[in-house]
Amino acid sequence: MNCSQARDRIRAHLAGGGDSAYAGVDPAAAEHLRQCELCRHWQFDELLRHELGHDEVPEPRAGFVDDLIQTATIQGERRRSPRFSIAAALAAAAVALALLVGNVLDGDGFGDDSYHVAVAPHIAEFVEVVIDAGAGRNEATLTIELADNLELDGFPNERVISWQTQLTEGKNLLRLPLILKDESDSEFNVDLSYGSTRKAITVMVRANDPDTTHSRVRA
Amino acid sequence: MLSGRKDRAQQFDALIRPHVMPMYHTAYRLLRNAEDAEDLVQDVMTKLYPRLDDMAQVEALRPWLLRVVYHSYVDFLRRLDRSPKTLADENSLHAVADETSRPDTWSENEQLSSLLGDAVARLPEEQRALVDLHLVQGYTLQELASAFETPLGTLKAQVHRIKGKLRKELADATFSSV
Repeated sequence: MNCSQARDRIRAHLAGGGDSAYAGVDPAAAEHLRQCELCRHWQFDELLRHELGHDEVPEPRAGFVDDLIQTATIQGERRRSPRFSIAAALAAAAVALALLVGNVLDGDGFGDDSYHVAVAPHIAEFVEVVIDAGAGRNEATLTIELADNLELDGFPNERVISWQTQLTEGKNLLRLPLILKDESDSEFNVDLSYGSTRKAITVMVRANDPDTTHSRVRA
Repeated sequence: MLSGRKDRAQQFDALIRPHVMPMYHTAYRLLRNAEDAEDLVQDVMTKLYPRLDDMAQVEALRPWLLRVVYHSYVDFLRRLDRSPKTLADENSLHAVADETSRPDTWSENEQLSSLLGDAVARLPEEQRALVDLHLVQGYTLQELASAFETPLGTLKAQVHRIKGKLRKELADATFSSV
């Protein structure tokens, strides 16, 4: 008996409700298993798949799929409407920044330099920028300037986004939900100004490949 | 404008509907709670709708959506102030024996299914989710590596170790019952 024949018999046995790959299987298939290491590995995967298949997922509530699509459509239309999304998203960004002020992360100072980060294309990925402020600033202005193939989630087609915020003394975390719209390299600038002081960094963005561990910029 | 919205809604429906239940299954495997899984999928879909144009250009939507679900899962746990489970954490596997078991022994045991079921039930949730996504839901290791942002070699080693651990438990249980 060859591998294909043995596997067909074992598969049929499992499909028929057999509780092991051996019990009830004809002796030739069982003998093949003893002789063939590849088939024993295959058999184990089949058994594991069989057992995991018993771990049932509970059914969601009735109308789940229709409800989700309808809700996503309504809420999604609101998000993509410029009249609402700009104000709401800017407010959300400011709130998020305020909430995250004081988070202590390892980082260097906010200097005039270039940094590199890798993100997956086509989906929103957070890139974190740590702003190390020497003193608290009540009216700091943050400006994000994006290359053409980059955008912030919630700000479709916005190349320059600017808002005022507060900085506390020490490290302030800015989390930017970046979307790289294609597989080519990109970049964005973060510009911080308060009073007559202005500092900026450039962050180079490249598309992540599957074998690359995600990284975040610490500026 | 209204017809544009209607067209978008129909396009979104056509693209996403076949994937809603698979996304829910994945979310449940990760969270082990139906209500949380429903919330997670709702959150994912609401984020996806504005990205309809991008979605329409994705060739392999299923693994792409897995990645989106996994990212949302990590964010979801952070919002709940729970540490995200790392599906590809080698440290959690250090204690796992990576040795060849005695398949001739466990394959002949009629209680194999029960033993294996018990061993699977004892796996940490994140490990069970990983092998489930691979063996039951059919994601390739390449797709999973991409979704979890883990090097492919690392993920292969982890799956190998999880299987090794299960084989060892079966072998040990068989020996002890003899």
